[in-house]
Amino acid sequence: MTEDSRGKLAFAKASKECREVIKLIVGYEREVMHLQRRNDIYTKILETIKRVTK
Amino acid sequence: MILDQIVMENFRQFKGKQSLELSDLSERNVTIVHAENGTGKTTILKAVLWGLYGHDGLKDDFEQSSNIIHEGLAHGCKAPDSLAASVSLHFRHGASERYVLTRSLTLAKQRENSTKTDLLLEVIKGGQTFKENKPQQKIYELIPMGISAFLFFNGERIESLAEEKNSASVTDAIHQMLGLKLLDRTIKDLEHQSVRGKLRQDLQEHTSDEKRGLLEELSGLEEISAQRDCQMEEKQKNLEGINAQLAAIDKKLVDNQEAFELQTRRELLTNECDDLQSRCEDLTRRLAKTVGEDGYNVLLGDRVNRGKSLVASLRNEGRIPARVVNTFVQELLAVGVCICKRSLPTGSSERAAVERQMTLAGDQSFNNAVSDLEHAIGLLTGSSGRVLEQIKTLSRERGELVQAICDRKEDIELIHQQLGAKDDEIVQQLEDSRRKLLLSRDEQLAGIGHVDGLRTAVRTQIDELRKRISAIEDKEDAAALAQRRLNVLEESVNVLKEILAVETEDLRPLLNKEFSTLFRRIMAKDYRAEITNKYTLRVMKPLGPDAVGNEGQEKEAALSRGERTVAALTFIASLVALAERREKIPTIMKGISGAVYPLVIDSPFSVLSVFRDGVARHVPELAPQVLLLVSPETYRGRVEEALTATKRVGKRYLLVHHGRQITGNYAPEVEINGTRYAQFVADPNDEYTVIREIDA
Repeated sequence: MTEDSRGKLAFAKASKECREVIKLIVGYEREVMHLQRRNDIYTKILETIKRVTK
Repeated sequence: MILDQIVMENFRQFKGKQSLELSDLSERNVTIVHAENGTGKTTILKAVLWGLYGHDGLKDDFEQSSNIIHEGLAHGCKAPDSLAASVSLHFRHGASERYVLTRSLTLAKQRENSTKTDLLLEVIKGGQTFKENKPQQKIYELIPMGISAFLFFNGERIESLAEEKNSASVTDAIHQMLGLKLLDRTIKDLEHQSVRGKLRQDLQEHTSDEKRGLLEELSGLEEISAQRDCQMEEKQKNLEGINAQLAAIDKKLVDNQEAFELQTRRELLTNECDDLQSRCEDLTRRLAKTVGEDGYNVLLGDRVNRGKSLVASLRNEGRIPARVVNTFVQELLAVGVCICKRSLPTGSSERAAVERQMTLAGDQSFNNAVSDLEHAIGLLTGSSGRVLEQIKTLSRERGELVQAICDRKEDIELIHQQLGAKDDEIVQQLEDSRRKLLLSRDEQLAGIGHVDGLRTAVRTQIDELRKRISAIEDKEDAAALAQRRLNVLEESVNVLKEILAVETEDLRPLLNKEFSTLFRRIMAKDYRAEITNKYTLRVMKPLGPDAVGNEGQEKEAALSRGERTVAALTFIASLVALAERREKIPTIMKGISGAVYPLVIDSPFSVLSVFRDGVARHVPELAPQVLLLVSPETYRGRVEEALTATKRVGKRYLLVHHGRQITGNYAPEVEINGTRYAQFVADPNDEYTVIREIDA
C-alpha cells in the first residue's frame, strides 16, 4: 500500500472489523481472488466477517 | 504484453499454416496489414481474441462465429473429423517470460460444440519450457478479458466511448486497464445473496417481528433492483448486438455493386446527421444555460429604468450616498472636538447639533451598497436587449440545425425507398433487415430510459429502508451479533465504494494530462480534451478574450464522428500509457505492477475523415506496439504519406485473396508505397487468403 493513496486514508478511517474484510479484498489474501469458483470467494468473505465479529 | 507472432492454421479463410511476425523494435513499433474489405482483416483481429479467450472472445459482429475451420478443407477430405484449426500467439509479458499460447478446434468438435476448444499455454523461462496447468486462468490473469476491448478493437466502433451517455464505459475502461476492476467486482460479491443474503437470514432468525418484516420488505426490493439491473444489462447488450448487426449490413451494402453508391451516400448523410445532432444538442445546452442564467434580464422590462430614475432622484436630493459616515461622527463625539475645532462638552448645544448628524449619517457599508446598486443598474441597462438578441440568435441557429437534420433524414428515407425498390433480392433483404433493426434499436433505447428511471426509484427506497432497519436495536445477543455482522458488511461495501471512487478520481488528472497532450498534437488545434468529473470525454475549444479582455475563456466543442473517434482513440492511448507506469501511481491495491500492452486496430482510419493524417502521424505514440489492419482505400494518399514520414513502420503485410472472382469493389492489383502487388489470384477450386510479407 503506497503512503499517499486516498484509498488508504478511507481504509484507515474504517472500523477494525471492516478493515479486516477489505484487507482480504484489496490483496492481502490475493490468492482468494484468483479462486475460480465464486462460491469459494463468498465462503471466504463470510468466514472473515464471522471471524472478526466474534 | 508484446506480441511477437500470430500463427493461424486453417482459421477461417487462412488455409494451411500462415503467420505474421510483429515488429517489436521501439523505434519501429508499427506493423501494418493491408487488405481489401472481406479478405481477412477482421479475421486477424478475431484470431487474436479467439486465441486468448476462445468463443467468449468473439462478439456478435463476427458472422458465423461457430464456423472456425476453413470450410473448403472438408470437401473431398477422407478423414474430415481430424481436420483442425488453430491460433498460436507468441508473446512476452513481464521482464523475462515468454509465452506460446495455442488454441485449437477439430472439425468433429466444431460440429458437436464449437465453444469446446483445446488450449495449451507454454511458458519459456530461463531457457526452459513449462506447461501451465490452468492455461485459461493464467491468461485471464495476464490479460483480463475486460481489457481486451481496449487493446484489440475495430476503429469504426470506438466513437461511442466519447458519447455523453457513455460515462459507464469510460469508468469501466479506467477500472479495467488500471487494476481497479477487482474492487468493483468484490463490491458485487459482498452484496451477493450468498454473502449479504446469508447474514441477513441469520438476523431474521433471531430478531424481532417488526425488524423481520422490514428485512423481508428489503429483500423484496433488492430482488426488484437486481431484476432491473439484469434488464438494463440485457437491453444494453441487445443494443450493442443490434449496432453490430447494422454495421455488418452496411458493410455488405457497400460491398454490393447495386447498392454501393446509395449506401455510400447514406453513410455520408448519416455522419452529417450525427454531427448536426451533436451540434444541435450543444446549442440546446447553451440556450438552456443562457435562459437559466440570464433569462431574467428579458423579464426586467421597464423596472431597470424605474430603478435608475429612483436612484438619480435620491442622489439629487442628497440622500445617497451618505455625505457623512457615522463612524466619523462617533469619533468626533468621543474626542469631544468638532471638525471646526469647537469643543463639544456634554449637554452643550454644539454637541447636540453634532449628535443630530448621527441620524443623517450612513455607515460605510451603506455607501458601498449604494455604489454596488448603481454599478448593477449600469450593467443591467441594455443587457435586457442583448440577452434577448442572444436567445433569438441561438434559437434561430438551433431551428436551422433542426431543419438541416430533418432534410438529411428525409434524404436517408429516400435512399431506403430507392434501395428497397431495387430488383436485386439481396439488397431488398438487407434493406428490410436494416429497417427492422433500426426499429428494434429505437425500442431498446426507449426501454433503457424507462428501466433506468425505475431502477433509481427502487434504489432510493432501499437506502431509506436500510437506515430504518439499522436504527432498530436488538435485545437478543444472537440477533445483536447478526446485526453487527451485517453492519460490518454494509460498512465494508460503503468503504470499498469510497475507495474505488477516490482512487478512480486520483487517476483522472494523470489520464487527462496524457489525453489532452496527445489529442492536441493529433488535432493540431489549441483544443483541450478532458475526462470530466462525471467520467465523460469532453473537448474544450478556446474562445477569444471576453468583453472586458479576460483571456482563457473556452467552451465545450460539439464533436463530429471523426473527432469523437480521435477522442476515444486518444483516451485508450492514455490508458495504455498509464498502465505502463501504474506501479508508480499510489494505490491501496497490493501487487499491481506496470504492464506494457499492444494495440491491434482494425480499420483505424475509416471514420476519421479529415483527421486521418493527424492520427497517422501519431500512430507510433498510441502504444509501445501497434498493429494496424487497413484497407487500401483509407490508406492511400495522406495516411500513406504521414505514416511513411514517421519512419516507424517495422513490418508490412498484404492479404492476397485466392478465389474464382473478386468479391467486392477492388482492383486485382494494389499500389503500396510506390510498388504494385497482386492482391487477387484466380483459383477456380477454392477460396482462401494468403499472408504475404512486403517491404516495410
